[in-house]
Formats: sequence, structure tokens, C-alpha cells
Amino acid sequence: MGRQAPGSFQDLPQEIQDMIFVLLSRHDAAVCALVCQAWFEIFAPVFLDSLVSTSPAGAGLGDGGDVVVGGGGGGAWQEVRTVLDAYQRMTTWLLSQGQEGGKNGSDTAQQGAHDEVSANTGKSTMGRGLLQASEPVIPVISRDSVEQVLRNSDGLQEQDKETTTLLSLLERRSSPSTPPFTSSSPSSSSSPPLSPSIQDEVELHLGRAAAISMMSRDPASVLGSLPATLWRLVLEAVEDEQVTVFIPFLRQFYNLIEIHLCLPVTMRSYIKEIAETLSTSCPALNVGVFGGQDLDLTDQELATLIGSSAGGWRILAADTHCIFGPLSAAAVVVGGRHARTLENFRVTTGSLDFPSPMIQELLCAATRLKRFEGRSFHRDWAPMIHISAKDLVQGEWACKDLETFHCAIKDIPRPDIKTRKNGRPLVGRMHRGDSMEESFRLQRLVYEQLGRLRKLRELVLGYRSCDGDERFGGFVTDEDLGWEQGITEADYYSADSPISSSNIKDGAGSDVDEGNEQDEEDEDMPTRLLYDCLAMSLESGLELLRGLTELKWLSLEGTSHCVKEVERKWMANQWPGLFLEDELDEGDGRGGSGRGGVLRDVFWKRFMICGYHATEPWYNNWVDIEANT
Amino acid sequence: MTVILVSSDNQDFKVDKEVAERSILIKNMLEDVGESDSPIPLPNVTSAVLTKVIEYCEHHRNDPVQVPEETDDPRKRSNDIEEWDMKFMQVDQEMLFEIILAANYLDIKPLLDVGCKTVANIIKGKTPEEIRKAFNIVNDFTPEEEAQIKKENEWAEDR
Repeated sequence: MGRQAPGSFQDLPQEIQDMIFVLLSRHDAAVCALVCQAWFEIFAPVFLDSLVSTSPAGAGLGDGGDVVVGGGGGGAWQEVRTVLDAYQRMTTWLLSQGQEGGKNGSDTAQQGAHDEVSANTGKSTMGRGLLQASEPVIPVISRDSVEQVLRNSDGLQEQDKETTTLLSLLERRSSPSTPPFTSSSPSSSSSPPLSPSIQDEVELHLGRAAAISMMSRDPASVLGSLPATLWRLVLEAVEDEQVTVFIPFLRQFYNLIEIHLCLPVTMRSYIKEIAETLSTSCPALNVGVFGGQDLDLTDQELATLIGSSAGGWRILAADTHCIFGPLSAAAVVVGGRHARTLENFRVTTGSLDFPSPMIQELLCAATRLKRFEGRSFHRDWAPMIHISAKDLVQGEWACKDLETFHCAIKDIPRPDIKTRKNGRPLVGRMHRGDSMEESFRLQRLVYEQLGRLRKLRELVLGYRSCDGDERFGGFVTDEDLGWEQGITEADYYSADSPISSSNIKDGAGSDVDEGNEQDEEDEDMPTRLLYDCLAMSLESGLELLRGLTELKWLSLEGTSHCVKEVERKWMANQWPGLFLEDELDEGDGRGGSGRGGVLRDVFWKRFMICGYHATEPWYNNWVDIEANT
Repeated sequence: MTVILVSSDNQDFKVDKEVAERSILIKNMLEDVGESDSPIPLPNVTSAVLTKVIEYCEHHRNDPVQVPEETDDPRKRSNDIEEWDMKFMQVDQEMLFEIILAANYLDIKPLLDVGCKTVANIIKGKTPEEIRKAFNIVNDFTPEEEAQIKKENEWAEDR
């Protein structure tokens, strides 16, 4: 058979689903919406529509309010689709009534809201009562008020539980279509924002009724008016010391699930207090995004913040403005609390040191992990997170559902890299001791580990030699190395290369082979400077990745020249739609920050700290891998 | 007069024209090609499903053609399935969905209706957990959503 059997309800064509909907009662539709995510998407609108069609306009149909779809015929589904929109409009209208509408909802407000809903189903006049007030006073729309309006509408007398559950789920959902920071300039230090509109202060729409994004100079007044149902708090670009008042407020948000903190210097001394408050007052907290606003958060500060989730993080991201070091790594790994819950992890800072054994410990324990990413936006000078192959092969990874693995694999003996232009062998420790057999054995074990990750979509194989070593003046390009002046690839491979900054700077490449006495003395070279990644050849075990049928994106980092034609053909054959991040991006000189593919997964779009990056065009240049293939 | 239907797995089914024409799709095809005994390929229907569909059409060969009513009540009842149809629909779920899809593709409105009613009957009166079991669906709500549901939907559990 050419197609897959429709194993599930949601695989049925829309028109057939519609035919089934009309056979279900409102109660059944509500139950269906609670079955799983996919059914929620399908049935929540149906259920909401039932609320609308049991209004007076639709009451004529009624046999005890058991009506699902208002209006018959093929247009029915079209109609129910508009209901979420209607709901949103109703919220807007309520807000226009100011706090009164938010808190109590007068009779006229309810009636008006009701009219607005009906208008969207084509049964009443449009627009009456819409947005009369242009300058509302910090309105706060809570679930209660929306619910109250719905319930007090005629035909909705019953206080049923399914209404409560569904409305609260609906509000938690519907991720914002645009990141909050696109609406106004966040860099308040250089140019003060133009009287921030209320929409910047409070996310007003459906699903964000209990979420707030603050870029305010007067956060206290906003915080004070937030409902206790708040589940998402985004705090960034706040420069006033008043912000410290927010700590007491945190205690009332016991439903808080998600927090984004971009902390200014003035708040740094309160970090411990913030973390303690969160861990004791917000037991459900499991999404954290952290960064410094004007100065990097220290490793200790970041570690303290990581400690603020009592139940373990589900999503954890650290911004460019922080130092993620061994303390932060330990906060993530030690104790296993987060390993049990962690699904998505990303660090984009350039100051990144996640000790290799800890990475291994995490990967061996984190059964729910989907994304593990440690690539800096500043890739022109900053190394990415890396794990030693010798750790990697110790034990089997538990993260069988891993989809994204942006972590270099290093510390592989490469005795095969040994020739120089002058024919003399390389003698650094990377090039002696281990045999080729040992190298291949280790590489095959690495590939076996990776090959078990059947859901892998993004993988980094190479390692860009951006060691920050001043001899290389930061990241090394072909030009820097002076290959045109006669320096060979092997020089580039070689950590015991005699290349010095003067060689590079003055381009005197032809002299480099002369002064190589220091070859023999390179024992002290730090390991991380060695060029010791996977050979990425078929004979070293690359074909063990053939089971990764989901692979969409593969980065060779700076090592594309190592991958030979035969391997390229094999890859093209194996993964026809593969996006190979191959050469350096010439567009921005050194192929650094992001455009080449750091930000390919739209998943993280919602979890970016604003900072100054929001204004960079590449920062918002999200690419959906699925859509691209 | 008979026509030959060919399933996706290349099996031939010889059926009376009258039976085959319960499918509006086939009826139209026959009208388009005129008098011809060339087999009709049905690349979207397997032999297993086609067997069931033909069984249905055989049984209902003498039913009056359903006239779509403009005033049709949108809230059709799903408890008015004939006894024979009800028994006919006692198949595993994969087959049920396959029959629905085939009925849709072949444009056999009464069969499609019965299929939809059967699915609706599976859903009706069940709790979310029972529906998950019935359709073999994994509960993929996040822990906090799950908690929210658990907290607030005893109403569904104790029905």
C-alpha cells in the first residue's frame, strides 16, 4: 500500500472529522479535548463553539444545551475555527472596560462581551463596544473574568468542571506567534523606549492572559496588579533598582511555571534571594531562561539560579551574557534532580566549560532529553561545548529521544595526521602512542553511541579550531593560516605546529618550517588546543550512523576540508535532504554568529532573552528544519 | 451485467454493476467510459477493505438512493444504526478507519455515515483515559497540564 493506514483519529481527513464532531455532545467534545495534545487542538475549538452556540442566538436548537456545532452544512467547521478568534476579541473588549471588566465584570460588560462573540459567528452586529477606551489603566485579564463572562451568558448557567479545565489549558497554551521583544526597543540605556504601550507590559491575548513580559521602568505597579494565576514571567531590560520589589511579589505566583530573567547589575546581589523564593514559592517552575543584562552572570550566580527549580527543569537555557562553568554544570548534573526532567538544554554563551565527565553523566541519566546544545553565538572566538570520546564511550546514553546534539566530540587519537610539507613527522603527543587500530576502535564506539539515537535531527561532527589562542588571533581561517603562502593542512591540524602569531600576521608562511624546534616541547600544550575530532571517514565508522534516518542537519564546523568525496557521496545518498553546514559563511567574514545555522531550530525562539541581540537581523532569522526539507 | 474492480494489491473483484454503482465514484466512471468491460483500478483500496465494502454494497443493493436533504438536522443521532450495519462494523479499528476512508474515496455516503456513527459511539460516554485505551493513544500532556486535568476532572472519572 502506498500510504500508511490511518492508525488514529487525527489522521482522518478534516471533512470526516467534521462529520464525527456533529454526532458528539458538548460533554463528549470536552472529554475528547483532554485525551492528548493532538485531540486538544481538534476538539478545544469544537468545545468552545458549543459555548457560543448555546447562547440565545443558538438556543433555539437546544435540547438541554447539548448542541455542538451551530449552523449546519459544510461551513460548520469554518465557523468553529473562528471561535478562538472570537474568544480573543472578547478578551480585548473586556480589557477596554478597564479594571472593572477584569475584576468583576458588570452586567453590561458581560452582555457586550457576549455580543462580540456572537458577532464572530455571524449572528449579531459586529464591533459594538469594541475598544472604546484607548488608554486603559493597566488592565489585567484573568481567567476568572473570562470564565465568568462565558458562564453568565444566557444558556451557560451550569458551572461545569470541563469548562474550568479547558479554559485553563487554553490559556496556558497558544504560544505567542511573535517574540515579545519585537514590539519595542529593549536597549533602554542608549535610547529610552517611546512610552511603552501597555501591550509591552502585559501580554493581553488569549493564552497569555497570565503571562507577562516586562520592559518597564515601573515594574512594581505592573507586578502588583498581576493575578496569582501567573504562569509565565519574562523580566528583562529593567534598569531601575525598584525592581527589587519584585521578590516579595514572586511569592504570590505559586502557579509560576516559566521564568526568563535578564538581570541588571543592580539586581545581582539579590540572586540568592530570588532563587530561594522561586524554589520555595513556585513548586511548578520548570522552564528557566537566564542571562545578565549589562554584565555577564558569574558561574556561581548562574549555578544559584539553576538551583531555583525545586522539581527540576524541563527547559533550561543560559544566554550569551553569562559564564557557564563547572559550578553551573554541577548544578545541572549533580543530584540527578534535573536529569530526570530535563528535555531541552541550551547554552549560547562564549564562556562555556561543561566538564566532559559531567556531560557524560547527564546523557547517561536524562531519559527525556531532546535537545542538548552548547554552541556560542560568538563562534568566531568561543569554543563550543565538547565531550571527550573517552568519556563518551563509558556507558550507554539514556537519552534515546535526543533530537539535537550540538556538542563537539574531542580527544580522539589521530596518528594519521602526521605529514608536514617538509616531510618530517609530527611528534606531539596526539600523534604518537596510540595506534591507528586504537583510533578506529574508539571512533567506532563513538559512532555506535551516536547511531543509537534514532530520532537525531541535528548533529555536530567536526570541531572548529577556535581555541581563542592568541597565536591564532582567535578563529583560524584559511587566510589567517596562510595556506596560500605554503602552510599545509597538516600545519593546521597540528597543535604542535610552529605557527606563531608573527608568522600569521606578516604572512611569512614560507619560513614556518624552519623554526620547528619547539615540536619536541609541546607536551605542555593544553589538550583543548589539539585538533583531535572524528576523522569522519567511512573506514573510521561513519557508516554506523546509517540508522539515523531523521537526520536533517549536520555540521562539520571548521573541518569540511577533511571530508572526502566518497564520504560526501555517502552522506548525500544516506540523507537526501540533509543540510550540511560545511564551509564558513563568507557573508559575515568568519562565519560566526548564527547565520550559518546555530539558530536553526525554531523551538528556542520562545526562550530567547532579549538583550541587545534582539536588534540583530540574524538573531531573528529562524529557520524551521522541517519546513526546509 | 458485471464489472471488474481491481484493488491496490491487484486482485480482481467481479461484482454486479448494480452493486458497484452504490459507489458514486464508480457510477460516474462507468457513465464516463460508457459500455466497456475494462477493469476499474481502485489504487486506494486494498483487497481486504474492498471485500468488506462489496459486502456492504451487496447487502444494501436494493436500498433507495439517499437524497441529500438541505434541512438535514446537523445533530444527527448516532444511535440509529441498523442491526446488520452494526454487526458489519464490528471490526478492528484499523479496518474501521480503512472502511471510512474507502467509503469517502468511493463516495458511498450511507457507508461513510455508518462509519462515522460507529466512531462517535466508541467515544461517547467515555472518560479521557478510556478513550486513550480505545484508540491506543498516548497521553502526551505535559506534567503540569496533566496535573491541571487531574485536579479538575474528577467529573470525567466518576461518570
